[in-house]
Amino acid sequence: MIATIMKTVLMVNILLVVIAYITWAERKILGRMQIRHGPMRVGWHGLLQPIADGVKLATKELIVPTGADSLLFLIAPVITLVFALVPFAVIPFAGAPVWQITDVNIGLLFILAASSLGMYGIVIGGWSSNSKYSLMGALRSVAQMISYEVPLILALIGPVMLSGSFSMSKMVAAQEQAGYWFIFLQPLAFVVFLISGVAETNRVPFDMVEAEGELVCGFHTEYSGMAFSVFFLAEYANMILISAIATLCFLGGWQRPFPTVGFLSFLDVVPEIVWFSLKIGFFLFLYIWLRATLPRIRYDQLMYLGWKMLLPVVLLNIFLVGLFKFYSIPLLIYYLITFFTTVGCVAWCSKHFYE
Amino acid sequence: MSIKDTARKMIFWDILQGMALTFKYMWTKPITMQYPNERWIPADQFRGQVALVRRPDTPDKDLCVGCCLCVRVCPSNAIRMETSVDENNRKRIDEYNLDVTRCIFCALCVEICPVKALVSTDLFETATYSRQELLRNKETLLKQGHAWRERKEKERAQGIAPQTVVK
Repeated sequence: MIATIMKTVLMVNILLVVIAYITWAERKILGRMQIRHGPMRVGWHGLLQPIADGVKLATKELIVPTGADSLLFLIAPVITLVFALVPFAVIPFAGAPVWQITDVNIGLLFILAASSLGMYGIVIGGWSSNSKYSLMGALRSVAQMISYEVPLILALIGPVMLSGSFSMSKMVAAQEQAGYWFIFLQPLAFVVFLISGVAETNRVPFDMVEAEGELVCGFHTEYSGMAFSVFFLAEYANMILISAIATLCFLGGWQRPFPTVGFLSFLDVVPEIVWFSLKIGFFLFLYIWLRATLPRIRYDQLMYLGWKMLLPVVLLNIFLVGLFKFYSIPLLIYYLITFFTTVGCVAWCSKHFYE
Repeated sequence: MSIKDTARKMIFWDILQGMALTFKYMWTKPITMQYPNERWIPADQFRGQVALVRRPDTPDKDLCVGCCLCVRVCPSNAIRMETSVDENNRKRIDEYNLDVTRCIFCALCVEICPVKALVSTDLFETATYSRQELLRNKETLLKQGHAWRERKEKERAQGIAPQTVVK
């Protein structure tokens, strides 16, 4: 009991520090990709910038707009942050049970349910600020998140079918037992999961919610000070969460690369938590990389992509995984099938996307 | 559309190309100057703050002949001059005031000065702690001009070329 509480407190604190430094890394990498320096003044290469930002945001005045429902207005960021942090309770950070707060046998369902509840914070925040920009941002956000939750969850059905369990640690155990990561069996689901994960966290190129060119700042237009930073923390916590799910379900969690290749066994000296963090770090880098590269897509394209392209593709993936499980197709033939379907689906998507 | 274009479209080639470009640029050196730590030596023709100079061989005598052309040409009326006639029947400059808060750094005064008594320095940092410091008179303008000339000569002796970044 006490150990669980201590683990929870420790994990939340570590997460918040990590989030603070992701904002630093994001500004730094984004800057370097645009041939700028990024933060340089506070500390060595701006390393103390997150602390300065935190002090600034914490000491700023929290303005509640006239006509806003102040109770709901203040409670909305809390809801968002809480439901962004709660799913980490079932995420295993390494193999031993110590590295997981609790191993629920419906882990994946719990994560999806809790992170969906975070949407309430956005709706309430947008609605209670008594501003048309907030409301429009919140409505867009909800429309987008509902649209992309469907392919996101359907993409996770593949790994669940293969591992036969909703538990996150069993998911990795199944990949360990099978000897291959699930990404090789269902690259389609992985790609769909990545795209809808980016859309789910409202990041560029799917940042219709913020869309600073059109709406002022989306659902948190009226927020300032600590309430704003809480929304910000929740966004980055969601990024880490999506990366963690992708790592656990598709990239073998805390396993080293190529776990069955014998001569790479010297990589085992690296602790499991480091492999896990590296994989999550790769996804976070991908998020920032996409942000530096891609422009925002149009709203109708966003809906088109979600419903008419990702959904059929991910349904096809479920069908293929079902075939694989039911008829126990040999692995090599199945690899061939997935390769050709992936190529075909990408080509089909591109044909429709450009028209 | 050729087969090559179709194939490129099929793998979202333009997105991949963009990603490769941003990744490449991540490893290039940032071109931003860290301004207070490094600074830019402006070009020789740079139009910074205007200052007065005297000839090095006659440091006690004004180079300015008091023709008041600079006062007349100044589009923003930043220059004010008061002159009188001395015992040798020559013009003497009693007061020469430049209001930097009005100056627009067009350097028309420098261009029109027949004796090159006015110079455009490369000083571009006009921030001061009080507005009074921006109302320059003859002494401060001369001090500024000579300090700038000495610094420029030193830079030239050290071989620091204009339009370079110095730490």
